[in-house]
Amino acid sequence: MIKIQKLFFVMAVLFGFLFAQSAQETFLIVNSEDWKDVLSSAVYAAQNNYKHVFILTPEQGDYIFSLISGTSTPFYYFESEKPVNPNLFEKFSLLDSSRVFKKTNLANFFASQSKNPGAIVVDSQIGAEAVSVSPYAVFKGWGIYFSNPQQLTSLLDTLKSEGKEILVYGQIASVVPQNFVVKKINTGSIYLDNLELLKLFEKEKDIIQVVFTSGKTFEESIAKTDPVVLVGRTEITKELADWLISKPKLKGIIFDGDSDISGALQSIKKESGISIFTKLGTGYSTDAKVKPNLVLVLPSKNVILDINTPIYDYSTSSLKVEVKNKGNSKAYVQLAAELPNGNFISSPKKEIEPLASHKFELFLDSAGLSNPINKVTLHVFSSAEPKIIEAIDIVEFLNVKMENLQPRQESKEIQQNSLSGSSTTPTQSPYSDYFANINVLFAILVIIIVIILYLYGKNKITGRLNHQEGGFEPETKKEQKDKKKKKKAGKK
Amino acid sequence: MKNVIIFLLIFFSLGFALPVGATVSAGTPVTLGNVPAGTAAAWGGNITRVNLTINSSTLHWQGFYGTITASLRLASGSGSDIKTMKTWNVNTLSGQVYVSRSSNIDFTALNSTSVSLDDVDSVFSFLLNSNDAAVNTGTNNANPQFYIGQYLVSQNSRPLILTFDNSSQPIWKEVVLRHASTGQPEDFVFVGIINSSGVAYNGEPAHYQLIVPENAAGDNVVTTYYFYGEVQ
Repeated sequence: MIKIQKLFFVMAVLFGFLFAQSAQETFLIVNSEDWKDVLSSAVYAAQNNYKHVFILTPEQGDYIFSLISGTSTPFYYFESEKPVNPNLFEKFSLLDSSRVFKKTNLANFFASQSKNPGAIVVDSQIGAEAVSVSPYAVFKGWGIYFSNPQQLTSLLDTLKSEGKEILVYGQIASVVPQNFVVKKINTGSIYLDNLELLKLFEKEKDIIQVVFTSGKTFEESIAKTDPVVLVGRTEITKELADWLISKPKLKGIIFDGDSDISGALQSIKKESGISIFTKLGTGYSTDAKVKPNLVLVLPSKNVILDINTPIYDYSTSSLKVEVKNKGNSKAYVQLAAELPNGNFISSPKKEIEPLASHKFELFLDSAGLSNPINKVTLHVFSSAEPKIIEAIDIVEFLNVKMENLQPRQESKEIQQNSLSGSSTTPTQSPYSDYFANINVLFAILVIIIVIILYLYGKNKITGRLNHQEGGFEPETKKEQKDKKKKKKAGKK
Repeated sequence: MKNVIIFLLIFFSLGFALPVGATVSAGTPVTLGNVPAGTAAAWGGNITRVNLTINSSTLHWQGFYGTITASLRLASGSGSDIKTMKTWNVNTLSGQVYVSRSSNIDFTALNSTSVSLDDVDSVFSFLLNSNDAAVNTGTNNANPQFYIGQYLVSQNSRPLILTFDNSSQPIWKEVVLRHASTGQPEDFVFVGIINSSGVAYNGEPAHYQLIVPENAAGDNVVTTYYFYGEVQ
């Protein structure tokens, strides 16, 4: 009997919640540490024209409460089992307990309350995939369901039994059982999946504006009807570039506080001419200060590389570069060195495990350069995905270190060969050019010294003659003048 | 030669790689990709960050003024030019700050949707017939020419509102635009023309100053305003 009463109460509250509409802006406040709760509630809020606010820090939570509490602003407050600020439930309850809810699995709850019977299923560990599908879910009125591979079959069974149209998106689509006939998008790349979704979106909606984002953060701009476009740190895919170029009237939005995608934005602006606007912040009518965007960091694959100073190895005439992956996922790295002679040499692409290192070796012979170099410009191609390049960083190293200098005897031999006039080719010895250059420089130096000595010596000779004439001191100007006068007088 | 070709293939298959570079000396390891989310770096252009303050002026209008910290980040060019990166402050700011109740401004429609001060009074009904109605505050078809992205907003085609600096000089220009015609306050976008050396009404240095309709007398609810700039 008690259970029935509880159920009745919950249904009454939810019914009221679902159909409550107000001409005024209604705040939907979500207090949860779980990013999935935040994202799913944002999609729900957008579908119902609520102002979505999530609690990012305890202090910001208190601020939101103070913002609402002094007004008659309509709100709904939802708290998960793990709230960011545990004191807010009681505070908001005192304002209006009928609008305050505490629930487990908020993400699933909001997805189940979606406007239309549709579901998008994504991996519960990949934030970028959820970001990518959010606008489509808002547009379609569908819910976003998070799953891991183990729970997928059970979830799909449930969704099917509810008669929902299902799209399984991203990596998790690879484990959909064969007996389930569902729509899938899974190219093996978050960027190409995103593009596939854009194309699907495009069939149903005229796309005039997009939100460019890293997929590593969530901000409310993401859960709107403008499609999200995922971009790498400095790069976008060729496929995306073609798509953007095909849309000359497109405009872009970014939000201040996203992970660094400035390099990619420069590329987009330059290549496609798209205008990009940035959301700078949010202001409230009851506050004197505009607040920065609320940006939540999502679980993502991050490639952070430490590039150590290249070392030139005499014994192999190669450039060795040690690269350490300090990120949390596998890194796919390729190096290309721009050499002083203008040539490039590149390495094969290497997979580097998290916290592991790889020593790249670039052979300078192959670039027609056998001299040691003291400067090199490295082009570092990196990505968390094997198929895509997310970033290209260009780093110029000055004063390249040297190692494995030639044993002394061998050096002498080469020097003797050079001195005796016999030539060595780069293929015979990687550093013969180097010594040949040293010889030329040495000869020039000797000539310069001889000239200096000659000029200096000429002066000295004058001084010595004076000394022989009687003075130990060098000739003074006055003495020189007197001498000239005497010479003139003698001539006369 | 083969390697050169491979590199060039990679490079040009990207179509338009415009990477970020840095110059370092020996013995200095370089960390790449270590820009944490949530700490916005300078975008590739002018407007990057905003430091805004707000001041209530009348019961029907709310004023905003503020400064924009801008920096220019350069990692462009080609060949040897792309290997260096510089960041420096920009002394001469230009452009606009867009303020709206809409969190989803359609920038593609801003330059093509007509608007008048009567529309403002009509939608913000608390302004209608008041002394500080929009029609008594600004002038229709009086805006300066400016661009939104690549699209031109022609001179004298939109309403202009002027506000004062601390010497009561009407130096601050605000253009009223509309991106939708649903009859809701969210349709309007108030555009502050940036002045890199401006002074706000209270004597503080500011880059923009503008006012937006707000019914402080009648409402007891929180209204949200969204601030946008354009990446140059």
